[in-house]
Amino acid sequence: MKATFERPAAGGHPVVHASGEIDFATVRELRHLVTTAITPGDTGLVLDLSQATYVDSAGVHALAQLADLLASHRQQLRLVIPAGSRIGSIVGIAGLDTIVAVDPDVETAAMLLSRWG
Amino acid sequence: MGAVAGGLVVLVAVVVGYEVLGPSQLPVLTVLLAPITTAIVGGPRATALLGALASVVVLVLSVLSETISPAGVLVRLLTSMAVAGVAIFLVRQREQRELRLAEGRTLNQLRSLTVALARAVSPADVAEVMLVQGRAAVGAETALVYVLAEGEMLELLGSTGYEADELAPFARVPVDETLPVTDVLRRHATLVLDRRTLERDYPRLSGGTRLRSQQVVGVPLDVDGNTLGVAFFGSQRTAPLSEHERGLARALADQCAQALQRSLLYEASVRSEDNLRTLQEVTAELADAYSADAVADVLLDQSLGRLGAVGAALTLADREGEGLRQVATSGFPGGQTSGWVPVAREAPSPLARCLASGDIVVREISEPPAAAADLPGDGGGEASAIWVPIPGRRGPEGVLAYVFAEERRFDKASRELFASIAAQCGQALERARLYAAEHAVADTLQRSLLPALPPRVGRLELQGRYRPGTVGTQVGGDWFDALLLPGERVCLVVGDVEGRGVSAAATMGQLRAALRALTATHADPAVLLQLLNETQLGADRPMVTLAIIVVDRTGQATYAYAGHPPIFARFPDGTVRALGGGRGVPLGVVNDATFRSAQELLPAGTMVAMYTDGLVERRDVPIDHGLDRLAATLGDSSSLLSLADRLLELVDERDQTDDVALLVAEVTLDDHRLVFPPLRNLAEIRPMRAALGDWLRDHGATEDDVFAVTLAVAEVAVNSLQHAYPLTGGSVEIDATVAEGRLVARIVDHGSWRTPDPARGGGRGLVMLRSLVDADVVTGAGGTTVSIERELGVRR
Repeated sequence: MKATFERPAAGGHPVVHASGEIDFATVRELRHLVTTAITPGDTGLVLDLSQATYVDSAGVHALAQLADLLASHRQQLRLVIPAGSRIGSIVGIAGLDTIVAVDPDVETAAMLLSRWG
Repeated sequence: MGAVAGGLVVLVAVVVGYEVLGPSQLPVLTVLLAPITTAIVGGPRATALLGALASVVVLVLSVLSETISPAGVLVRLLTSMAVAGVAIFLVRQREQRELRLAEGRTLNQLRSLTVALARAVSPADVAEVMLVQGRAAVGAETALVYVLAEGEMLELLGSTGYEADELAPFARVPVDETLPVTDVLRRHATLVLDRRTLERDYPRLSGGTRLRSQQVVGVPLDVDGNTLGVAFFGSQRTAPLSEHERGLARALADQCAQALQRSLLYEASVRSEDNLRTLQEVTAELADAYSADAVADVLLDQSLGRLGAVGAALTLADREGEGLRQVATSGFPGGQTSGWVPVAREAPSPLARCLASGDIVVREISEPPAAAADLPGDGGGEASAIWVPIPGRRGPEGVLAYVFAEERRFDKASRELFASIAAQCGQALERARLYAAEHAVADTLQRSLLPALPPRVGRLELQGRYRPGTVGTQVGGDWFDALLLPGERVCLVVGDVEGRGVSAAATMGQLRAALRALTATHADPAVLLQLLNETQLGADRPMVTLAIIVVDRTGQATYAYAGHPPIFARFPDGTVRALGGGRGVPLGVVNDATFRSAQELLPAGTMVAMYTDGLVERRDVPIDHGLDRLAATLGDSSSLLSLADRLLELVDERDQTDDVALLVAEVTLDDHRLVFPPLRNLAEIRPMRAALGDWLRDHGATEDDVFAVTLAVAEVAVNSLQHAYPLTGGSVEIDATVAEGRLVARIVDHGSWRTPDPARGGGRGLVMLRSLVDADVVTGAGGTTVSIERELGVRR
């Protein structure tokens, strides 16, 4: 997995891009990066999974935990997963989409975050 | 008796005097004879008084009947008084003589008590002497001896004259309770209590038991002002104790107190010697325990008898800090167990209390059973038990528990013993962890130096194994490799660099790299060996032995050896033999060594085994013996996987000290079956997924199929590696078959399946699994097999 953190431009929201495989071996790193990316006072954070190729149950569990973490900061986690992606089907099977917002692209996610705030 | 005898003598004297002297002298006789006789025969004073009274009556009667004159009466009365004075003097004398005699008896009793006490060794012996001899000496019917235990509890050491269970409520008395025994202790003085006082001041006495004595005497057992215990004597008498009797009781108590002190000291020294020996033995055995299993074995099995326990359990805090796992138990129905036992830390069980407080928790007397899972087999709570915290770096890291057959006490010394054993256990576990970690480092390093062997190269199915030696934690120089050569030929290599450590590993790495380079242009094993030999010549180059075999797509094999034990083959017809040609000297020994290749046809179904000498050789066993066992194992193994495992078992059961590298191969016709070498750690999951994905694509799987199947297989394998083996590392075996477009994959572990905990996200894997593929979980005593099926190539 490769993950990068994009500091928000003025008026924007933090965006974390995670590509490659999100599994038991990489969740710790992802969790750490997202945790440090949380911006106090913001309305939320975008986690871009459009370049992710694989997510296992440890990955799904970590995503759910991160959503909880953000909620405890009164913020929202929005996942970016393109339609038809296999990651999307796993997220659906695990029922993660019922507790975490999923958007087709980063722009939509950022827009909805601003509105949500 | 004295009174009757005295009376008879007086009667006889009066009758005889009347007959001989006549009636006028009768009063005189009577007056003289009565007190004298009384004094001589020894009747009590009352008889003398009666005699005197009788004389006065006779005298008065004589005066009234005018037998004698009043002057005669006066003379006779004075005479009589003088005689009575003499008589009383004689009686006094007699009494004093008796008192001296009684004192002599007391002295004798004390003397024989001292002799008996000198022979008493244990506190129970002392109590026995006190009860029997002491009771006799003071003329009591019942007797009790209490000893003060650890300054806060009076324990009944012995009793006599009571029913068997009558004293059960008073077997242990806290010193602050109000009872005669505690009052003696508090007041530090001899107490004499009559029945009324007993009933009035000690309601607990009359409430519980029948008061049988009219009077009890309690004496403190003092040595140099220290009270060791209390002795009690009860009797039916009501008269108060004489000064002499009090003195006797005190002397008795002093004697006994000294003996008791001696016996208590002796007992403590014996016990501490016993404890010390037990501790030394356990420590010595723990010193050789290099794994948590071995630690558990020493503490739970070997030490049970020594500690007088009948059952034991070792419970350790989960490293993740969430739960507890009962690592092992013994002495309970069902025998030794090992695995996860959910034990709630918050439960009010002794185990949880022990872990939370870090203090020893004991159950000395029967209690209703605590939490059921606490001590397996200890449902009844009918016996004593002790829970001892195992000290760790950050508070207790587990609990060592022992159960005993009967009720027993845990005094300070025995608690110290168990605490020491638990401390030793903690150190041994830490040692085992360090050793495992060190061993794991060497093992990991070695494995990282060895190739991640794909399950199949060309037409050959492969299984490679490496087993580090049991001694040392240094990397070795054994290796294997499989290379795909131009022209669909496969080259298999097994080698052994002399020595251990980094330089052996470096040489191994160089040889592997050199061989990879050389096989790009050369395929004849003899030529390859010759070229490698040139790289190995030099002053400080280690000796290397090597076996190389190259198999083409028709099964034609060419092989050669450099001082290496032979490759064994099992042919499809069942014959097993060594490939005996192509012998040559080890590398790095001779300058212009020449090597020769030999040929062999290996038809489909042939299995070959290549290995390093650790597999067949041991100092005390001839190599032929090892080769025979290798051949026999090769002959009756049903699959390549079982062959590899069984050959390793040969190593394990011999407690192999040398490293072993092993490469087995099977020449196959079809490639519809994929068998992975057993996976041991999570780092191997990704390469497995990649290899499985490639193989699936070759067998008509869509990308969706690849995604679903690799995810499902990886989920199961990860779960097994993380949870099936809580105590020892284990392996996960994976194989996959495609038949008529349907994939069947099996993931097998040999540990205990842990039901996923939804709170920890554990259930998700299974849910995901079932939505992706058809999955079937079969758990048995020997492990868990998960079967996964999926139709390949179907558009969904």
